[in-house]
Amino acid sequence: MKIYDAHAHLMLDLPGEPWYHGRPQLKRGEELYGIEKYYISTIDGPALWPDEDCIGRCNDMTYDFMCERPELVRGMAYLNCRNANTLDELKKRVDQGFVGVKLWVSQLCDDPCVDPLAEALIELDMPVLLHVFYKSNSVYGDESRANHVRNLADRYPDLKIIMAHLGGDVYHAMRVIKDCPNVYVDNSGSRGGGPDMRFAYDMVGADRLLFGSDCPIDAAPALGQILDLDISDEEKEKMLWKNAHKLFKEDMR
Amino acid sequence: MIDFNCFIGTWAFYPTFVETIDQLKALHAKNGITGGYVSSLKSVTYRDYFFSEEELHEAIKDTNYRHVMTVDPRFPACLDIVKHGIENWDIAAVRIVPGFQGYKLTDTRLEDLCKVLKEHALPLYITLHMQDDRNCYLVQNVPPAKEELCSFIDSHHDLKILLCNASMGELENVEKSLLAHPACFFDMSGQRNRMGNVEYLSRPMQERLIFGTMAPILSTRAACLHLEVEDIAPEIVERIKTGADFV
Repeated sequence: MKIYDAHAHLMLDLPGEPWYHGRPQLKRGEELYGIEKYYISTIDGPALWPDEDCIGRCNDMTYDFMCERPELVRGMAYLNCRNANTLDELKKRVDQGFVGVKLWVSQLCDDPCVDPLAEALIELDMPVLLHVFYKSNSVYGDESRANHVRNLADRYPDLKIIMAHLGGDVYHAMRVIKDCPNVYVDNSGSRGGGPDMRFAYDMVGADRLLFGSDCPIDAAPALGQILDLDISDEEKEKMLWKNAHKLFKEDMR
Repeated sequence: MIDFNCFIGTWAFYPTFVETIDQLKALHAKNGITGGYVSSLKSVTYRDYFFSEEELHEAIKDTNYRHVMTVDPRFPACLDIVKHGIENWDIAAVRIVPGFQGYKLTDTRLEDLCKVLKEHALPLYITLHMQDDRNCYLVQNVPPAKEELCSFIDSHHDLKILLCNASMGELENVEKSLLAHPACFFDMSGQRNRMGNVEYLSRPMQERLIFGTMAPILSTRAACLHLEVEDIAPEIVERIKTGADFV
């Protein structure tokens, strides 16, 4: 089966082991699991509220990789909606061929500062990938939860939204967004919870679920979660690549 | 291939969709797993776990699955239940879940349990994590600290130990103690979240790895994928799959 990874990262300027920078792990996913496309954003882990310069350097890094491996890499422009130049940065990256936007923890996703971006993305017919997590033990920056996604989805029903990480806690998140047809969900970044994808599938069906590794995290947990499911190969293919293919309009590229 | 770390029963916090031995066997069969060392999820949260252990025994007694009893050594009847399991249920090992149940490996009542296990040459499973710790709401898992775990391993060289669902970071922390121990092992279920999960472990560490999935709490297929795709010596893969050094 083909595999498109809807949620992968390069990491900017991070010290530490090479695997954590992203590229070796992306190569590994390509070689070991046969991942054919990566939807990549570059983030700066320590910078929870990155300034314009930091955002620019992140997206430059993604762009370099897009140019180097155009058949493999699709760029997701990383933005901080608190920065004044957000729409200019978006325009620049769209002109470079980026296919979507990634928002991390620099704003709650239903904050009014997101509204101009949401309206621009509807105009461009581009999806936004939202980091979403609900934790019992910590909160990371302005970390969105499923109720924030629901607010944004209700406010902009024509905006295509990808809620990352199964909402960070699938049992907390899925029921909140299940009636929002414009919200897709990726299974990146989990610890590989056995029943998680079955629960997500029961909530929203195969058409709104996407495979994502959250590279540099290894792809095996997220891939295993989908392969474990007792569903048809056709439905697994939707999660593994067809939904991403459609959402990111690969037929037009 | 044997799954040395799996469960049946109801998990108190969310549905697992795999609760019976037949459901577990079907999940295993789909992944080429032919048998398992199985514990009861109910016993992790029951106060008197005799009931859930008896239920587990009844469920697996006519199968090729072996009984891994889960206990809280602080329960006054713990040793009685373990002895009952040895005499009547042919238990293969005993599991503890200290971080989830809220006690230290230095608890003297655990020492009493270890004495019984040594007398009967039974392994001790130390489960470091159950579900994703980020999502523990009613019960917050606090896994043993590095020094606590190292000290326990160092002082129990005559007890066979299996570390279940230990993260790569936790294994790095205890690697020296683990390798100095004659029979301390760890399982596949924690091998994730970084590059080179198994293939980048040192050869001595690979020889301490056995196949265990934490099914159905964690994805079974994910554990299998590592063995299928990574560059690991075939003889090591065989040792991992059969647990040849553990049993």
